[in-house]
Amino acid sequence: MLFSSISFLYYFFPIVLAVYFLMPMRQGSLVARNMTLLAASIFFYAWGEPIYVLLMLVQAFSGWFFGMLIHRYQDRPGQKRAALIGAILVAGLCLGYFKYADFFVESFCTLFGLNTVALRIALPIGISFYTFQILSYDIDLYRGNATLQKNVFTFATYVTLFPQLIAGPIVRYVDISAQLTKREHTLANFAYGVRRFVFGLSKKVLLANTLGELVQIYKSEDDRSVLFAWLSLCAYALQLYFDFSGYSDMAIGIGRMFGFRFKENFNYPYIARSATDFWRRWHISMSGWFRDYIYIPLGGNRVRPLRHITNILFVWILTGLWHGAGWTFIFWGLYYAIVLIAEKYLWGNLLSKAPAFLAHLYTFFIFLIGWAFFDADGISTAFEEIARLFGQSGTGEFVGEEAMYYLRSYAVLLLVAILGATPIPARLARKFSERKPTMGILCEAGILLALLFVVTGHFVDGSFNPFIYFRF
Amino acid sequence: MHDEKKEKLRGMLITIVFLFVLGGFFILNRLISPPEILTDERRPAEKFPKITAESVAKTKFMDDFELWAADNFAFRKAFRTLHTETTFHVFFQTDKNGLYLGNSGAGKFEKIKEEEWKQSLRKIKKVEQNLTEWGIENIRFAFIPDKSIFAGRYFPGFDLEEARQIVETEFSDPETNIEIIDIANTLNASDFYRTDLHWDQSQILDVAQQLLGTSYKLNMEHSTSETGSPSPQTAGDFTGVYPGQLALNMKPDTLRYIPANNIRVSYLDVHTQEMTTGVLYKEKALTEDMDAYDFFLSGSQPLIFLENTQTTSDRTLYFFRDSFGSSIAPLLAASGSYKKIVCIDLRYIDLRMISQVITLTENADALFLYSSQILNNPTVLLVG
Repeated sequence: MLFSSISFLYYFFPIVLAVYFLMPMRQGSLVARNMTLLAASIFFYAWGEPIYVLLMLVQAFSGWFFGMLIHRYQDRPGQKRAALIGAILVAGLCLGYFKYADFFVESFCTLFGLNTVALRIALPIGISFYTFQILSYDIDLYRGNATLQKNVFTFATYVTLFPQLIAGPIVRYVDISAQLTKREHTLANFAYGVRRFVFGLSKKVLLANTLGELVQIYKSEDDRSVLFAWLSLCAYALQLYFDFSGYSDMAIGIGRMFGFRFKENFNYPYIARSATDFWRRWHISMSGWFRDYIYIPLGGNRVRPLRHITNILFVWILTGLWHGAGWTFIFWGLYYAIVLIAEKYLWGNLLSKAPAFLAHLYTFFIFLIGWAFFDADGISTAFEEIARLFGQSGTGEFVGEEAMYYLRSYAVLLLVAILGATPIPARLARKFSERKPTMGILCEAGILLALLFVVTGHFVDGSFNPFIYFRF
Repeated sequence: MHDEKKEKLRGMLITIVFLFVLGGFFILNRLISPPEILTDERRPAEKFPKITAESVAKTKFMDDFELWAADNFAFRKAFRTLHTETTFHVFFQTDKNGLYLGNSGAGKFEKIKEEEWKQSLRKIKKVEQNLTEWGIENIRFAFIPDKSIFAGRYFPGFDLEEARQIVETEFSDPETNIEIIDIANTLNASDFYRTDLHWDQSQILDVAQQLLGTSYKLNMEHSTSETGSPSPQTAGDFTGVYPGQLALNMKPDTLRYIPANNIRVSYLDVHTQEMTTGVLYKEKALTEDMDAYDFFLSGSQPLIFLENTQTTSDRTLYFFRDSFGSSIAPLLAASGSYKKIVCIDLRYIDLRMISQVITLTENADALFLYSSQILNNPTVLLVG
């Protein structure tokens, strides 16, 4: 089920909220409420993936079972390690088969000149997210950073928790283990959750989806001018940000309504001053996962430069693959690896001393070129699009009539989106609330109400509603 | 007020607003009786989907549920209007999914799909071959440009020059004997309704004359019994398709028509397969039909025969047309240039069926008149 749908907002969610808050908390026990969340989450997932819901539950059980083994053999290092390897193997095989089998078979056939065999395995929604969550539990348990969860239902609640199930953020078990048994349900928490949810939903529906229409128009139009290529790529960059950060906001918001506190996943990435800075602000939960479970165990940066470079390359190839089973994603990962290595060893110091304007401009180019790879069907298409940005592809026409039309049509939306990708609106709202608190409260409620209505208008009118990050 | 109290008030207000909207519409959507027909959108509302193991496994039930929920949402029109208003007046976008509000009223970009146009024109050439075999030699073709060409500024809509070029190129081969009539320069923005894609019959007498060619004069002396000259009559308010698509309350157009008392109408009843007497102008269409443009010749029919009872001409015109043709056919018939006009809608009758249903005569001309919407969809033309 999608958050941005009538089914979710006006059917599923009101029922779940009502049932959840009607469930008694005898002596502060959250068992009944957790069971409600588990049932709701399974239904939520089954609504979009009625078959693969079993896979998710099997994986959750497997993660819990290996966790039990790791705990049981905590004094026997060999068996403990074997249990961890078992956990990683099961999770890895599931992810590998359902997400990468087609890609590897196709690449193998191409490499050895064999007839391509297409397995056509459908990708289970959100498999990368919940697999990483399960792994984080088993690895942290092995390291002694997490405590054992004996109750399989509570563990399944953690894995399947519907707010962050299909598009993150990747919530580590250690971050919410305590909240699974004890969390606060307060009016302030609920209201904060509502704010985050409604703003996230609006980011997704009003900005990301509408900008997505522009990207689709570019792909279907004959106008291949330089201006249109830039316009489309900028729209795509903003679409990605509002789509994914909007989804994270919704997840954090819904989580908070139920008393959970998920970590932030975005921190205004487009105001970054370098690619390194950008990745500290973009999809923080994923970067953190790769850092803590892959990069640091490999030695991180406390190794010789050559090894360090190898580590970065390895981690970023994996990061690329995590985003999608395709050569463009691997290439995209490699691209960022090279940029990050260059920032570390070549121009990082220079960049930190450069005027802010230049640093932002540099980062803007870096992530835009990155998104060109990310969005392309193939590597050659990506290079073609990048060449088009500089008038080196197609007719080389600088301005087309259609580009001018769409620039004008989307100008306000683009400006709103650009402004919205900075901390300025939040800062202004905070200042306004500080100066006129009562008015601030009324305005906020009014804006939330208006946004809910406008978003509903989009749903009812059957607007364009793509889901970029679900494929991960 | 203390900060703590303010935070409490803030929390309460936000929570109430949120729960009021979610809970309110959850209940309202249960209470309202779902509409059978979405009148504004001219389509039946989605029915609640059937739950079967297969429809659930393939998520068809879930997809259909979302469509049903959208169609049966309380205050659906108001929400759709809000979407449109946000698009045009908050984000100042110049169109909404291709629908625009321009100088010539509302419209929808109808870009030319080059390959589809070519396929349509090839189908028309195939019909032409058949007509030639039947002994018909004077064959004419005209396309109706989309009204977006009059939108007043650049819209990524219909490219007139491209259309002309495609038609000329397709019909330039020596085996084709189709005379191209370019009506684009005869048309202007006021010839079209502001709320619809169609043209206004009272404004297209000049187009009718052009389509008849120089050999014939548009004689409208039977159009009114009193003045003897074409004088448009008002049938009533006409709300076209765009206000419904945009969910906007636009001022209705006025449907005007040129009366003619010398035309006998009959049509092939698709149900009984028999000829039935029809009317030139169906006044009830304005209030009873889903599409008020059915006023002209009662809307879409595969074969309609218009017989001029007072002309001295003995010739027949085979008029291959779409819905635009419904409004211009009465003018062509009333002109007296032809004894009989056979309106053929190839969307509803296959070319191969025509000779089985009607007796073809050699003493005839043929005219193809198609809008861009049809030329962009060659599959709808049932030509072999």
